[in-house]
Amino acid sequence: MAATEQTIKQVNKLGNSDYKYGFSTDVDDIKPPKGLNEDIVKYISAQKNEPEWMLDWRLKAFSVFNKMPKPDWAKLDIPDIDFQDYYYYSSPKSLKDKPKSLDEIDPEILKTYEKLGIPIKEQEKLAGVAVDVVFDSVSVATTYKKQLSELGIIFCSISEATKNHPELVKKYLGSVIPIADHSFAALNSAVFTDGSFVYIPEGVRCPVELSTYFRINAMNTGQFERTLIIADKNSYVSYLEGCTAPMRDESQLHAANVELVTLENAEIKYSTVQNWYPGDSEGKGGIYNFVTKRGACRGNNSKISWTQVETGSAITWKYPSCILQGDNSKGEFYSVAITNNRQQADTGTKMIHIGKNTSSKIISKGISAGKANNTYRGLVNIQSKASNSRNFTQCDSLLIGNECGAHTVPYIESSNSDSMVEHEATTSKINEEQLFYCMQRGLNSEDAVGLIVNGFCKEVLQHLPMEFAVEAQKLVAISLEGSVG
Amino acid sequence: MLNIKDLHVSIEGKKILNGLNLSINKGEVHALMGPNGSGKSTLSYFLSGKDGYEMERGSIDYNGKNLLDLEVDERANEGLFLAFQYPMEIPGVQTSFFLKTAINSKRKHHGLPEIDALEFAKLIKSQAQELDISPDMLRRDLNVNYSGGEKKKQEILQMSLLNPAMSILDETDSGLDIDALRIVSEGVNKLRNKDNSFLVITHYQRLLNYIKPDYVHIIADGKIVKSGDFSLALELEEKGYEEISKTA
Amino acid sequence: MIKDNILNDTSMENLSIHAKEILLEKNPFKNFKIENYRYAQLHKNIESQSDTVKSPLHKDLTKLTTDISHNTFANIDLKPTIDKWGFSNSDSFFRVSSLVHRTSISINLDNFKETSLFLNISNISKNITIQKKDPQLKTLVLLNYNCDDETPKSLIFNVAENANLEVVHYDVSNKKSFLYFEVKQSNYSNFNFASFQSNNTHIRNEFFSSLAEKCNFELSGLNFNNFGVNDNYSFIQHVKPSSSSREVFKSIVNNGAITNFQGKIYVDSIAQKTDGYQMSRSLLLDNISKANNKPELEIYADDVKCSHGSTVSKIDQEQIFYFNSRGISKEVANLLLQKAFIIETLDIIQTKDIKDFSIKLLDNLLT
Repeated sequence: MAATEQTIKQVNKLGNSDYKYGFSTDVDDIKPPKGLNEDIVKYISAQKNEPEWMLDWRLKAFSVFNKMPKPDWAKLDIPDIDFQDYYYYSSPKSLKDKPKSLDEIDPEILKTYEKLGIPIKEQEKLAGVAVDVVFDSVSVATTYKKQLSELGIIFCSISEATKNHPELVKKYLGSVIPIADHSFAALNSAVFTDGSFVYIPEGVRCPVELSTYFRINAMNTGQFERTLIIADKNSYVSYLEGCTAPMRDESQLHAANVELVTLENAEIKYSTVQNWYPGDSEGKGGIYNFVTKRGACRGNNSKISWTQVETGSAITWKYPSCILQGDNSKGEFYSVAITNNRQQADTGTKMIHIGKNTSSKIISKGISAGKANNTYRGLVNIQSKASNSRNFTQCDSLLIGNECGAHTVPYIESSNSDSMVEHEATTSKINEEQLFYCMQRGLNSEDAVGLIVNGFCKEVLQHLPMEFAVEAQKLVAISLEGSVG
Repeated sequence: MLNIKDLHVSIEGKKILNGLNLSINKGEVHALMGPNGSGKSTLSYFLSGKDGYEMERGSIDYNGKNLLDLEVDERANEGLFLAFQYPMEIPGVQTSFFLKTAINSKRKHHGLPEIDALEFAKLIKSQAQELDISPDMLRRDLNVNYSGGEKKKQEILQMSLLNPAMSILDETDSGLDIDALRIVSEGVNKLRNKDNSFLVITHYQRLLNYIKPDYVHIIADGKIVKSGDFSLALELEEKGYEEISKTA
Repeated sequence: MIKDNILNDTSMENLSIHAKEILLEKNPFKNFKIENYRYAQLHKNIESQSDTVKSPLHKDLTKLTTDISHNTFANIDLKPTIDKWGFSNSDSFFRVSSLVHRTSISINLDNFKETSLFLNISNISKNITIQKKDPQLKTLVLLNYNCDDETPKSLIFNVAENANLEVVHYDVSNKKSFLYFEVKQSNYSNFNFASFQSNNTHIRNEFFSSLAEKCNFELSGLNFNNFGVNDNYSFIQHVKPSSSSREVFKSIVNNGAITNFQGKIYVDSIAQKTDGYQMSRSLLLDNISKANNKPELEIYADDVKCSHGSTVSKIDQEQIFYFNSRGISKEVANLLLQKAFIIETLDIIQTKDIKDFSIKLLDNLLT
């Protein structure tokens, strides 16, 4: 709690720039040349000293990527992406040999985090948050590792896991998101650089919220994280992911894959606050965020819950989904997506009901301001054997101004007669009477909008862990700045 | 404090206020009475700065400033308070959080630091108790699922927390039972002092038995047709609007 | 031949390259933005189902024509016309291909003095354009039955300023029928459309509606006891301020049928004060059938009130239990509750005779 308030304060101090987190550090990068080809895939694999099976897997994914068209279902205006114009690997030089402790970390990097308001040293001491910091593709520091390992929890970078726990990685990597799922998934599988790996052993309840901060720093570096979280029988973990990125003029590509697996009675709660650089008010620059997040409730009585607050990126393309295989399994999706200026978002979820008595809940709040377009797209699919399954979906959209768009596109497919699917959606504008009431009590128009929009989103925000909730509320208000005349 | 001269206001081309004059000094309580559609609520909304009203003529001086130069929130922070006839429900916003935000907005406007959390807790607890507002209500969403009486009490709580110089009570008595009416009136009376003023808008004389006004004005067709002291309210109760307006 | 038609036909000028491509391809879905046809299976040959489910397609419903009392047949003026096909926001394959394959006739409803008119469109092999200018409310009954026709047919309604029109569409016992409805409403007009669909094997109905200022549009659909694939697609476009649309679609799905509903409310950025509502509800009675719903909102104006809802469920077992406890058998209770579920869609029919007839027909076909 204290950490996030501090974060906000520090960030607010940064001053004149519209984008509060827009700055970059000078760290010498080592880079192979731009471009995407088999050699780069091999280079990345070699840099990470990967075993052969991993290289083979990457190469297979790369050949699949070459054959697949880009997915085109989203209501997004995506500029042509020249995949050859990106760097696919960069790592801060001074980290070539991994530091043994925080003291060994490049002071420049530490400074960046201080500016961002994430003092690592303090974070170690802070209320139970272990941080695995990804700085430009390479995991720079993992804290609390020791305490977690005493419980048998594995929390490390995916590269480390490939070396130290190949049996787990082999078994689960790509098992939820097959490499041929769509072309961005294939691309990620071929060139992913780093990301987090979590394994919670049977019967263990992870005592802290696991957390990762991502930052894109090097110019034109597509960042391809790969996250894999496995919750074994009767276990529980809550995972937080937050991102901020420095201001850049050229658009940057981001295509992460996140896979979750829960076995019998296990639960994963995955929370995201996404605040990549959205581009300037004319839509120049900004991150392209093509994320594939999917969880499989493999075991009976297991549960996966996604919570997301999406305020950044020029383009957000993201559908955190649940495959409800186990009987009685549960999937949840809570989402706030805010688009302002020329941002575009097409986001939602997929709930695939396969097991009996499965249930899912979707709460989505979309806010569109400026010249932005915001689409909710969600699939609820009840298969014929999923008897007695239930879904409830509520989608609310708020429009601020009449140059923006809000769209709701649910897909409801049911082939089981014992099941029940309910969908409700509304679209309205921000209530003028409420604004007047708040302003009559002395709030200025931006504070009033922030307050009302936060109220509108409360149902979702209250699902965030405390550490994030405060930050998210401020982000909601910050993202809408300048949207009301 | 507040000086309204020859005010003409219309909504979508329809004239509502038609040459209204009203002057309120520090420490005074004025009652404004009138039938439905006489322009009472329009006056209160217009003074607060609500959109959608067109001023054709007139001037409003507030503490030496031109009120019309100020935005809604600026007027509020300069001490103009409107107790709404129909307070807004704001889902998802906790009442106590809203109150704190409002207090801090005013403090910021006057260059004061944010209120200390403990101090706020104490303040709100004591004020709420006086108005018979339960702590549970403060944790609920602002005005959502409040009863009519609870909403009005909430308005008075906000008034006492913000300690305005000029309060406008827009039919605060409507929808109140006798107990709530007494509590609300006591709340208002406690706030009365030589530095602040009140404009009490009401349809019935009942409220004025509890909040004794210094002056009573009768409004009809967008202008004040008769002014007097408390006895005018009694006379009105007896004769009705129509007759009083005729004799005016 | 189709190709030549397209290239020569001047009315094609308005079509996008996209639409022209559709026509040049044998497979209409090649390169076609598939989204609007997500669940459609137009080229699938759907035979009436297996042994367990017997299609009552043979049922003679010709009586239908005589059962509606007090109505006269419209005298159809067979004057060919070329209409401006101006739906700018979506290229319907149906609109395009019906235009190529059929000529058009025009009917002016103001020429008839009767208030209820009856038109058997299954007998007409042309596209039909219907004009309505008079403010007086008229009810037009459209009958489409026993069709087995792969080629889409279009019905265009031009509803002039202040005009009031009600259409009741019986889509019954068709083997294959693809209809395209387009409604163009001028300011202050009111249009009600009820679509009654039952006992069909493979149908698709597309409803396109474009609303000017202060219009009301109501669309209600009921779809039950069908076989094979039943598609309904609606696209309601608010292009001017202050109009309202209300759409209710209900289906009861069984017999291994696939019932699809896709509906979009589109609000242009100038169409402030739009009031749009859409509800699609399905009862799914067995596990060999499928119900797919895809309600959509696409909104570019902020001062609007738009909502949609959609449900897929079974019959409430507690209600069945309640009926049982009052001595009513499960079968009867089931039937009663199905009727209760679907009958709401007939409420928009304002002409009493036709409403009564619709309820009678519902009772007959609901088994």
